[in-house]
Amino acid sequence: MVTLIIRGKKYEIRSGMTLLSSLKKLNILPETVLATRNGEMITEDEVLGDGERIDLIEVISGG
Amino acid sequence: MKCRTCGTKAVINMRQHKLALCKLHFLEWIPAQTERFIKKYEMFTHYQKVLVAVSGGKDSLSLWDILIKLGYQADGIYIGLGIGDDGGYSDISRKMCENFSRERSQKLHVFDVNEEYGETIPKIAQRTRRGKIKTCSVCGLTKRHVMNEVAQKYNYDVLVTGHNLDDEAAVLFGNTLHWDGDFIVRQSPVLPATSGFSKKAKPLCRFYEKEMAAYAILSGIQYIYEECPYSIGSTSIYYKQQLNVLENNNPGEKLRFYLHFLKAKENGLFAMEPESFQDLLVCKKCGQPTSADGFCSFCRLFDQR
Repeated sequence: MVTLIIRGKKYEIRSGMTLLSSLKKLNILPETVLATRNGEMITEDEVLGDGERIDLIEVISGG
Repeated sequence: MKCRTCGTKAVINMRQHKLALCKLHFLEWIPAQTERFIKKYEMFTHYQKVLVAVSGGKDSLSLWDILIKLGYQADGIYIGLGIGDDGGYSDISRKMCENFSRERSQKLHVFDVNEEYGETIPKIAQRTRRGKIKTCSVCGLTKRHVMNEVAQKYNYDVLVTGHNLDDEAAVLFGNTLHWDGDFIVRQSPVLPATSGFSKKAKPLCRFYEKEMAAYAILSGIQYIYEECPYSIGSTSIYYKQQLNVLENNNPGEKLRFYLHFLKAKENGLFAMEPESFQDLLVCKKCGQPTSADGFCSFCRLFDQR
C-alpha cells in the first residue's frame, strides 16, 4: 500500500499506480497539489511503490 | 519524465506549456520568465525603486526572492492585520516576512493596523456595514490604502504584488459572471501611476499558482502554509476550483482565458467609459485620492465608530 498525506489526513491506496491515477482515485485535481516523496518533488507520471509515503501540498489559497 | 533542457529527471510538468523541467532548470526558468513579463508589460526597470507587498505567503515571498535574484532594488512591506490570537495567523506571517528579509539583508517596512488605527481588521469588520458582509472587503480596502500610503511616503516608483495567474483568472471569471464592466476594464498586469496613486504591477500574473508553490518549495522559502481563517469558503477559492476543473480537462484553459482577455482589451473590446477618467478628489482626512466628496472609503470605515 501507499500512504498519501494531505493536511495531516492519511489515505491508503494500492501500490503500482501512477501519482496521477492515485489523485484521480482520491478525487483530487492534480492542478491543486504538489507531491513530494522523501522530500523530493515528483511528477504525475511517477509510479508509487509499496510502503511509500507521499506528501501532498495544497497550492490554492484565497485572497 | 525528463527535463526538456538537460534530460535529467523532471520535478515539474507544466502541461499548459508542454514543458517538464528539473529543479535546476525550473529555478532558472521562473526568474527568466518573470524578467520577460516585467519588460513586456513595462512594469519597472533596474533603475527604479520597487516596493513588494509581502504577506508571508508563497507568492509574495517568491516574488521578492525572484526580484532580488534579478537584481532589482526591491524593498518589502508587511501589513499586520491582527488576524488570529497571539502566535496566530498574523503573527506567523509577520515572522515569515521578517525572517525572509533578515536572511537576505533586505529592507522591510512593517505597518501594524492595530498600532496605527487602534483596531485589528476583524474588529473593524465587526462594527462596519462593509465588514459585516465580508471581512475580506475591509482587509482589501485597508491593504490597498496602506500600501499606497507607504509607497507614496517613501517615494517608491512602483508597488508590486504577488498575484498569480489563478488569482487573476478567478477575478476575471467572477467579474465576467457578473458583468462588472468597471472592474473588467481596470484589470491589468500593470496600472500606471495617477495623481496620488502609485504605479502597480503584478509580475507573476502569468504563472500558475502551482508553479509559484513549486518555486517556493524548491527554493527553500519558508512560507505560511496555513490559510487565512477568513478566506475559507471564499468565492475566490470556489472560482479557482471551477477553473481548475476546466484546466484538468483542457490544459492551458486558465492561461488562455487570461491572455485572450488581455489581447481583447488591447484590441479595444473594452472601451473605457468617459466617467472612468473623472478627476479624483482628495480625502479630507488622509489626503489620498478619492471619488467621494469628503472622506475616502478607508477613512469612512472609522467614521462609523
